[in-house]
Formats: sequence, structure tokens, C-alpha cells
Amino acid sequence: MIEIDKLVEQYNILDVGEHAEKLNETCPVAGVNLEFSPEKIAMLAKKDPGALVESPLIWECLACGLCRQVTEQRVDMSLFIRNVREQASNSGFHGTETHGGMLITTQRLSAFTSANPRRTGWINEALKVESGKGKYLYWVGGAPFFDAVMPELKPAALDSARAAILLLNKLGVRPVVLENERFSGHDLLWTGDTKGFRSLADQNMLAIKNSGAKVLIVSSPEDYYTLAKSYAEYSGGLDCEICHITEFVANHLSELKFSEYRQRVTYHDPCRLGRGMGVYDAPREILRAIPGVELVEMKNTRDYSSCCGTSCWTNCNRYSKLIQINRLREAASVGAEALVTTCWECAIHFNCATRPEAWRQVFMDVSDLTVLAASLLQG
Amino acid sequence: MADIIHLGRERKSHRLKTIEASPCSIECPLGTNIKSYVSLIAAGRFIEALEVVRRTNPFPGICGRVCPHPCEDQCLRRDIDEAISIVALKRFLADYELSCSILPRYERLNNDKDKGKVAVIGAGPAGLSCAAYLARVGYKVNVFEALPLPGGMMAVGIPAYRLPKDILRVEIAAIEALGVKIDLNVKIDEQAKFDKLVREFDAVFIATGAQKPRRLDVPGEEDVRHGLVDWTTLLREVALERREKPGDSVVIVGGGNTAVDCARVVLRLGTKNVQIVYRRSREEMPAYRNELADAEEEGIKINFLASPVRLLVENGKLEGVECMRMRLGEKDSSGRRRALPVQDSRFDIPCDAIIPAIGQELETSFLGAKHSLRISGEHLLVVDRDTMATNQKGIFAGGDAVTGPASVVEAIAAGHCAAQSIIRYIDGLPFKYPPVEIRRDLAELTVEIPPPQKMLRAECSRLSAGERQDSFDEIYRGLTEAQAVAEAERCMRCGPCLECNECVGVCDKRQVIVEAAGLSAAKKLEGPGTLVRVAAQDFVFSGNRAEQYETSVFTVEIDEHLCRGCGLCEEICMYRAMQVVYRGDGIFTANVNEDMCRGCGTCVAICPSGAIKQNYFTARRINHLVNATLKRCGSRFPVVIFACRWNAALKYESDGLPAEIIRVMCTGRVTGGDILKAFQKGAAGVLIVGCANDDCHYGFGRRAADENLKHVSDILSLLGFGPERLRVLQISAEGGQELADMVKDFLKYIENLGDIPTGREM
Repeated sequence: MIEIDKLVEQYNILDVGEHAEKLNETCPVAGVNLEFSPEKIAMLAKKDPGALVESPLIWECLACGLCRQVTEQRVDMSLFIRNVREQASNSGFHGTETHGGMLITTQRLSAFTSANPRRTGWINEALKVESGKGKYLYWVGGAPFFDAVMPELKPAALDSARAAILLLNKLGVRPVVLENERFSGHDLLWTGDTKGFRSLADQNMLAIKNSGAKVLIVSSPEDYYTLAKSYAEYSGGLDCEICHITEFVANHLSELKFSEYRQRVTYHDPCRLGRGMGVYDAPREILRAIPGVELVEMKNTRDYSSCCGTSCWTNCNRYSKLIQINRLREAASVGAEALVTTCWECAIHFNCATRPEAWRQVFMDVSDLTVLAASLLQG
Repeated sequence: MADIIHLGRERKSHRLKTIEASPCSIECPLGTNIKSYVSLIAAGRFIEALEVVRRTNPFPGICGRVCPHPCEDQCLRRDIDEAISIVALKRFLADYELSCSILPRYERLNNDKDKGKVAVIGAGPAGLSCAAYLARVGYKVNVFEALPLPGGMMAVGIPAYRLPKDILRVEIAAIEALGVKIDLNVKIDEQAKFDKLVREFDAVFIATGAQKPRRLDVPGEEDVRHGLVDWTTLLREVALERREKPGDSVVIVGGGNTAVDCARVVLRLGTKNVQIVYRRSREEMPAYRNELADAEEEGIKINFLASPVRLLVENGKLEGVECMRMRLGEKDSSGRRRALPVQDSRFDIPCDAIIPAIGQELETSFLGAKHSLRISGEHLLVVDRDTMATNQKGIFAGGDAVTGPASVVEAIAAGHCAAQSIIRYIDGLPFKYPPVEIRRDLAELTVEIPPPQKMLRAECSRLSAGERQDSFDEIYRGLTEAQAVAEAERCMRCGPCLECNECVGVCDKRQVIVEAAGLSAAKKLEGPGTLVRVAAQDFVFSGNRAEQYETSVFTVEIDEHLCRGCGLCEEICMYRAMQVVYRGDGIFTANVNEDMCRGCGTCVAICPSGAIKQNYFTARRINHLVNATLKRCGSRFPVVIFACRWNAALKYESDGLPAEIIRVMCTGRVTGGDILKAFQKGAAGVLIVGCANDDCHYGFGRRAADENLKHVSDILSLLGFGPERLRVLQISAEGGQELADMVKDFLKYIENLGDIPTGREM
């Protein structure tokens, strides 16, 4: 176990002091939760590391990476928090699991069972996929599970996965979809369960290797970040090219033709895709390629994009909802008719924030870019 | 739209300025007590809030739509995030009243009658507000209107997509109900008619507006017989439902709201090619930003830095307009940068109609040639701006006739000012009194209260550009009730009293204060201040717990910090024990009515954020019970049974079977997480044993359980565990033996399936 003070040094946490004012103001959580601020975490880390491990503050942090951005890559609060959570988790301290712990327990089960997953039932006849081996591999991620737990929230994650395969088919790609794919491990890693993460990573890396894939195409930004960065960090990484579905589609835009769709939209950069992987332009290029779509930018956009308020199916509370409502209002304030994103989880969270209908605070359509693009495909 | 502001703020204390009045009220031309009505909205007292608005403004529904809201520019909330959407709140009130079918009603300000007779010329905002004020204090008012409908520019100048006509009708009807007589189709267009009014009435208020459009004053204007359109006529004809497009390619000259309105109306009449020509740049354009953006979104082109210099006419028909490029020079007396022509930059814009919208002036023909009223160089009436009196005794004037084109709220202010002067004039009092000076720097106070949370202002939804292109339907929709209450809660209530309720906190006579604040116990969550709420809550929950139901031991509690107020618990609870309530600061959370809660725990399983805790059957306790059960089973294939404690297999004995029952109040309480965690800890199978559907003690818990367990089955199947390892059974209270037999069957079945292949690292 690494000592907290070493982590503090490694991730320049004490530099928070120097940037405190700016950090406290940009932090989406601090804006709505007056008990929380990056500064408080830094102070606690310095004065009482033991208390930090037990503190709910480390679970309130979204690890969205905005601190790093604000301090010119100096303070890496998100990796610091990830490491502190590992220690907290080992000592029996956890965040508040959402959905009665259903989704996070599922991932733990997925990590330590050798039962053969049966997770491709959603692939219908219209979709052309390979089983077994092939050059391209489409990574489905947790979509089938999210839809099983929250069938009422639209756009559904599986619709996005189906749309991704439709787009790939249109480009002449028949991707392999693994029956024995497991969760990428993002949520376990970021809630401190490193053991579970390693187990998933080992099994997934083997399965990907056996498929002979040269190009791995991913829809979920969290999975993309995990497969590309976290796997490399823990186990040397994958031996193939990894790209996000929007990057793949954006590279082949000339081969696709979209019907006209008149709407003014704004694009929400998911943390892991934007700040995590540096993908900002591909989704926007796709939006611009759709005739009739007018793209407007929010104030907090690209590398300063605001987080969707929660992640890892942990600590989703009134503050998360305020962050979500503020984000949707930000979209409304620039005149957007819809907020488009590429992350299923962002979409789920934003849509949940509009409930219940009787107390609805904001009216904004939330759409998934992949679903939008696939539904407008011509020919 | 204001940018999202991230200004520095102190984290421990929040500084508020106390000034004689709230900054918003000071800025409002009518001095409306904004803080007061916004607080009432936050308390859900909408009709009382509207009464406050009507004290100073007879047109809340209209101003809620078209007011340029200078109040919002002064809002101190801008230091934290964004100004309160005061204009949207005002509109909400008027819409709310209309939706409840309550007719607006004014209170008379005194019981006086027959105080005097006043003639008002023009039924626009200035004339009608003057008339309404006078009528409320006992004057007989007769309004003369030339048009076949009342409202002035509100009726025939502002298009219906910004201001629907029924709003106008209702608000004018309320003024008529006060006894104001409005004579339509009466033109005061000759000196004789005007002089008659002066003779017959005690005072005359001229509020005719300024309808004569200014001319372009360029060569060719005289020669045009077809294609030169007067904007007042265009908007009036459209308002009177006579809709004919002026041409196929139309140019509008000007940069004000009128120019933008004309362009958008012409577009809605079916003209595809509509262009605005404005001599300065976007920055200087006086039209409202959102109107301009909406117009551009609808497809209207704006040609900045261009000015017409000649009309191109062929046989009396307009063929186009010759323009010149402009550049911006030094600032002029109005503070805007002067537009200067660029040499050799002439260009033509082909068009078949042109609408100059560059200002209006007063139509003075009714005064006759020999009138003695002072007229300014800009062809407007000259009055004393403090009293609205003209240079002739007993004749007052206000509104656009005095100021030139201005906003509705300024016209209302002029109307009120004139009314007060008229009263003093008729009563023979000196009506010139010194203007009241408002001190803005009375005191500054630092209060140790936390700064409010960042919460951006509510945005009204609106029709999309496509939907509104050929429709005169109103574009912006109002706030919903929920949005309005939350928006009003954002108000920091600046002003002489901060309404911080610190006094309530220190006073031991809290109940008195709570009652004085008009808060009954039932209304505990509707009060404007947090401490009042807390104080009220103390009184409600101090009852003797022991007297409550036996089941109260199992009632649920909400962790307000975890609750997202999503309302799923409210939907599922048939006892109506759960209700989403507003907690202030834009936060909604569920509230448990402990008297109604029967302790089934179904809401615990449905809550997505883990905010609901059931007393006794806590997540921790269930976890512990599962561990203990699995340990006691000591088998390779242990089975965990969750069962209803009321009517399911009450006499079951495990009799050495590796399957023990964990009793909960209702199977609806069992969460997906409980089941999956049992598997994680090594259960080979899980049984959920509920009562028969028609035997459910709670009536709905069993059905909720079925719904919930479907999700878990799906997950087990995706994981490859086989959904058959989870079974849901319905067994009556007497069915102990039946369950034992079923358990034996189940055990055989899962022994055949074999171990769950796990590494047991979990």
C-alpha cells in the first residue's frame, strides 16, 4: 500500500493551495455542495491522511480531471483520488452504491466468475457481425446490463451499440462481437477494487488477443479510456489499435451520407473521452456532416467541459442532480434544442435529472450521437 | 443571456448589501416590489404574488412577455451565477391565473366616487394604465381609441407570436371592470373634437402614441406607388387578421425591435427572402438579443453597416434599393458610434417591397393648425417629465407621444405619473413636488450565512425554428409551476431586511414568529426562509413517538443529501407516504409522512440513489443476515431464502436443509443488490418467497417485487449464471410444507447445475 504522503507528492496535491480559488470555483461539485472543495481534500491529505481515507469527500469527488486542466496539468486530483479510494476500499470504506449496489456487484461477479457470459442476445438480424475472429472488434461494454436495470431511460445504451454496428456495417466493416466480453473494469478500478479490475483486465485481454483483432472500436468513453490507458498502466496494454466509434466514423465521413435533420444542438464532452482521451473534434465533425444540424457550443466546453455529475454507480445524490440540471440549463442558455453526447452514462444521468415529470426543472432533449447518426443514414 | 459567471466569493461568509430598496425594484420604472412577489412565489402563494404585481402594473401578462427587464441587469445574484428570471416569473403568475380561470380583479384604493371626469386619448399602455389608476381612486375615465380594438401598440404593434391577443384581452377586460369606459373607433382627428374634450372633462391625457413612421428621405421615395410599405399599417393589418404578403423579396430598414418584428411578420406571411438593412453593426443594434437571434434562426438575413441612399423605381414600381456601405466612427451624443459612409461603396439590393422602420413621430393633425402645445424638434409633445403636464393647463401627455418609441413598461410608468398629477391638479393641489431620491448606499452588512449554491436560471422552452416559420403561435412557453417555485427560491431577497431569519433563531418565542410569518404547521415547507421552516418543523415532529403505530418501528427515513427527488418512491408507494417536496435552493427531495408509512420497505428497493433507509431492516442488517445464513448452511450448495413475514410459508422448518429463511416485511423490500450480493458471497441459489398476489399484506409490494426481480433475472442471464438460480415463489401462510418440498426440488436442480464457477475472490 502506498503511503498517502507519497501520493500527495506524486500528484502535486499540495499545489492546490496555490490555485485554490480557481479550483474551488471551477469544480462542479464545489459549486453545488458547499461542504466540498478540492482545497478541503488537499488540506486533509496534508494534515490527517488517515481521516482522508475515511472521509466521504473522496467519494464525492467526480475524478473528472478538471483540476488537472485548471492547473495546467499540475494537480492530478483524479488519479490521486483513485489511489486513495483503493486504500479506503481495502480498509472497508466505500461510497454509497446506487441501484442497491446492483450494477457494481454485477461487475464484481463478472470479475470472479468463469461462467460463460451470454451477452449478445441483443444483436438482431439487421446487424452484421462476426463471431470468433476478425480484424475489427466492436466493444459493447456494460450496455446490456444498463438496459436491464434501467429499461425506462432513453436513449437506451443498447440502441447506441446497435447504431454503432449499423454505422460500421455501412462502412463495410463486419465487427467481431465477443460473447465472453466482460466489464472493462473502469468502475471497479475507480471505486478502489484493483483486484477485481486486474481480474477483468486479464480475462478481457486474453479474449481480445484470441479474437485476432487489429482494430478495437469502442463506444463507451469510460471503456475506451480503460482499455487504452488503464490496461497499459497495469498490464502492458493491448496489442492492437484502439479507437472510439466517433473517431472511426469521422475518419470515413466521406463514405457516409446523412439525411437532413434540422436541429440546433450542443455537444457535451464526456470527461473520459475529452480530457481523458483528447477526443474533441471527431464527434463535432460528425455533427457538422449532418445537413441541417447547427452546432452551438456551451461556455464550459471541450477541455473545460463540465462532468455529468456522477460515475461508477456510486454517490449519485442531490448534488449530482444539481450539476446535471445546471448543465442542461447551460445547453438551454445557448439556444440548443438538444444536448448530444457520446456517453451512455452521461445520457442516463441527464435524463434521470429531469424526473419526476411533475417537478421537472429543465426541458432539454438528450440524444446519443451514434443513434442520431445511424438513424439519419441514407441509402 | 448572461455568461455563466465564476466570480470569487468568500466561502465562510456571504456579503449582502442592504440598501433602501432592492436593486431590482429601484431599477424598475414602476418600482414594483419584486422581492415581495418573488418571495410569495417561492412560498407557492401565487395569487397573492400577483396582487403585489398589480399594485404597480396593470399588465403582468404583457410585461412578463415583452418587458426589457432592466431589473434583471441589477440582480445581485449575478455575482454568484445568473440573474433571477424575473420576467419569466411575472409571466408565470399571469399564466397561472389564466389557467385557473380566475378573472383578474383590482382592489379599489379608496371608496371615493365621482371625484372628477378625465378623458384619455389613446387606449395604449400609457392611456390604459393612467385610466386604471384613476378609476381605482374614484375618477370617471373615458378612453377614446381610433382603432377597432384597444391596446394600442400592444395590440397592433407587437406580433402575436410574442404577445398572444387573449392575454391582452383579459388584462384590458380587468381595467374595464373597474368602470373605465373605452370608446373604440372614435378618432379625435380635428381641432373641434379635441377642444370639446378639453371643455367637457376636468383633465385630458394625451396618450396617442407616435404612429407616423419616419420617412427614409432618399431620392425615389416620392415616385414609389407600389412597394413602399408603412410598418404601422403592416403590423396593424396583420393584427386585424388581414394577412397579405407585401412582396416576394422584402427589405426592412432599421435596427430596433420594430424592424425585427416586421421582418419576422413578413416571413410568416410567406415571403421567403427577407433582409434587414442596418447602418451600424450588431453591437449597436437596439433590438433585444434573443429576438435577433430567433429571427436569424428563422432565416432572416441582416445586412449590417449598410444604409439606403436611393430607391430604384420603374414606372412607379419598386425594383430595388441602392445602399452604401458604412463604417463606425466616434461615439455620438447617444453613446453609440456614429455610422459614416464609405466612399465608392454603393451596391444594389433587388427587392419588390421596402419597409422603413427607423422611428415614429407624433401625428399632430388633431390639435389643429393653431394649437398652443409645445412640440419638440423631433415632432413629439413636450412635457414636464416629473409631472407629465404640458404647457397648457389641464392637459397632460405621456407614452410614445412624448418619448418616441419606447417600451410598454415606460409607457405604464408615464401613465401612472400622469394619473398622480391629474389627481393633484383636479384637487387643486400643487402637483409639482420634488423627486424622491433613493439612497443606494444605506449600509453594508456581513452576515455569517453560507453563500447560495450555484444554480443557473430557468430557461423557458420554445418552439423550434421550423415550427414557428409560418405560424403566429407564441414562441416561448412559460415556466412550469415547479420551475417557477425553484426560480423564485434563487432570489437572495436583497434589501433593507435580508429575511435571513436570524431573528427567528435567537428568539425563544419561535412559535409566535412562525405564526406571524403566516406559516401553519401544514405549510412548513413553503415558507420563504430556511430558519422559519426549521422552527416550524420542530413543532410538527415533537409528538410522542410511542403513540404511533406499531409498524412505525419499520418506517423508512430519507437521507436528504443522497435523495435526488426523482419521485420513483412517490410513484410506487400506494400509502402515499412518500412525497417529493421542494427544499429550497433548487433542491427537491422525498419526504416521508411517518403517519402514512406502513413499513413495507418497497421504496427502499426502488430508490436508485440509496437514499431511503428502512428502520430495523437496514442494508447492513440484511447483509449480516445473509452472511450468517450462508455460514450456518455449511453446504456446497447453500440457498438463501428471502420471504415475506406476513403471509408466506409461516410454518417452514429448514429441518437440516441448507436453505434458511431471511424474513423481511415484504418481498418488495429485497433489492437487486441483496440478491446479487448473496451470490457474490457464495449462495448457489436464491429463493424469493412471497405471499399469493391477492394475499399481499400491503396490496402492492408483491407486484413491485416481481417487477424488480425481472431486472435481476436479466442480469444473471447476461452473466451466464442462469436465471434459473433465482426463483420467485408464491406460497400462502399455511404452505410451510409446500415450501420445504419446493426447496428440496430446487436443491436437486442446482446440484445438477453444479457450482457457480467462481474464483471466490469476492
